[in-house]
Amino acid sequence: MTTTDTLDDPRQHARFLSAVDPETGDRDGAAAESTPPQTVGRPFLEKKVAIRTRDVDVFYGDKQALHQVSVDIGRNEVTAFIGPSGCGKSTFLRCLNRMNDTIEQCRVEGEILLDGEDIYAPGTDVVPLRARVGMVFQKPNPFPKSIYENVAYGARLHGLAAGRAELDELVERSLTRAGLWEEVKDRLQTPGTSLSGGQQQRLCIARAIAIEPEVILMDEPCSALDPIATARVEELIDELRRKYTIIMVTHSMQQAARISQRTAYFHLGRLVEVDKTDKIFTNPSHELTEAYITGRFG
Amino acid sequence: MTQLQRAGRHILKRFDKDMRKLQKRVLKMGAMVLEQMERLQEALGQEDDEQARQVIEGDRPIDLQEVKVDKFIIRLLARRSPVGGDLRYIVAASRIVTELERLGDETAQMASALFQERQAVAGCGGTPAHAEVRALLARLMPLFESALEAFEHYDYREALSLARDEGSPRAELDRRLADLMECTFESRQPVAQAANFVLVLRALERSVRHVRNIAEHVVYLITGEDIRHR
Repeated sequence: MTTTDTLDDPRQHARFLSAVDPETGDRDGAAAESTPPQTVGRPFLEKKVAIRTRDVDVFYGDKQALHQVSVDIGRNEVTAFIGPSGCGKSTFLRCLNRMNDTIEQCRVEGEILLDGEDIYAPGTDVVPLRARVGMVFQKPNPFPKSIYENVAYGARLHGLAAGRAELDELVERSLTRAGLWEEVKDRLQTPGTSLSGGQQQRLCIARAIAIEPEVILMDEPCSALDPIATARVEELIDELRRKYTIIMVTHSMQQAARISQRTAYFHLGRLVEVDKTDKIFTNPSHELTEAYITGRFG
Repeated sequence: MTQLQRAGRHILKRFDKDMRKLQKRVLKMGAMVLEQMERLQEALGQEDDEQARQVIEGDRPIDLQEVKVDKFIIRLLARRSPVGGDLRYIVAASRIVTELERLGDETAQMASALFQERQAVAGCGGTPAHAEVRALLARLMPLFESALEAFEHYDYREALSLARDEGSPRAELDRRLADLMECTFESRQPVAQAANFVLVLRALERSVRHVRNIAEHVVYLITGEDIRHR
């Protein structure tokens, strides 16, 4: 049989047989004109904007961690923040419910509007703010209490249930929405910490949604989970977006590609590009984004 | 594809190697098809049945190369989860491979129709069919070569020009087909011969389209813009 992968036939067109070496990069074909990066993103209908930030700078002491971040976050969408470690994505996420207030020396400038209200306005009470903008962390961190109490605690604190029956109902509803009810309904009084990692994370999500937030911030919610537990949490996030606005920081680009509608790419404290996830992962506008998502970042 | 991407390297070096290998394999397949066309040219010029037989048999290795590249592409998709320019490159390469396989088929089909059947004169002018096809092939081959070069060098301008049918012998092919029909209807040549020649002209016409399609895929891999069916 004629071999199809030997190069010894003199009739072969030799110049096509040795391909261009991308390492040299010395070909001069016309590169595509790239469109200017969209740091704010394509415009939404005004009513679709859940969070709007303009020119947000964050400083840790003298060091500036974020520069002029302006972005609109769509309601009932999953927005993924991606970027290399130290690019400021978690810092920015934590600005959105003022979690950075807990860090001494941290200073936030610029405007962050939740439903049009400036969350950094003087006199803003952060407790109701954090009830509106909930948070789920990288490592599942259930309280050292029963499964039931983990979910009921915040709701009780915020006075969301009038009596035991109402609280029971709220706990069941939250656990159901978090896709955990069937697995734990017979052992609500066992400690939250007795659950598996994936279940604990879903418990934390149930805890977050028990207080009926508008926005849920998730900081690498699956990085401590195995692929099956990750898939469950991702499916849950996809379902939750019908009711909530979700913003997540993730180091897994495949995860951002799988579950987000919009993706924002951060680099060295700047928002480089935000666009529809489909666009970011097939034809990003900015070269830095392209380099990062294709694994060319040095 | 941006300058940075062409020059830049994946952190995972094996990914670079895979991408180079992919390009090499696609270009090799292109070279195999081009060689088939050249051999057909020679056969037509020298009325050489043996060369024509080689063209007909030469389609098989091209088919095998298609299977091989396809398998490689599926492996790349599964293992590398390509995105951005890498994804477009791999998808475009996959489409180009399909076009190349069809170009190979058309070439073998022409050889078979031209050498294994009795030939009509090409149209009312009385040009021998072989000379006519040889002239049209001579128009097609540089376009095909340019399309492969555009793929090799990420040459957007060249790809766009080819995709717009610039320099394409399509109009000439249409004219030849019309001539042939006219002569046949006027009963100046046998229908069976004319029908056979129509097959050859149609194969050439499809070949022109495959070359244009390759150029469109190159535009897509460079810019992400899908210019097909416009």
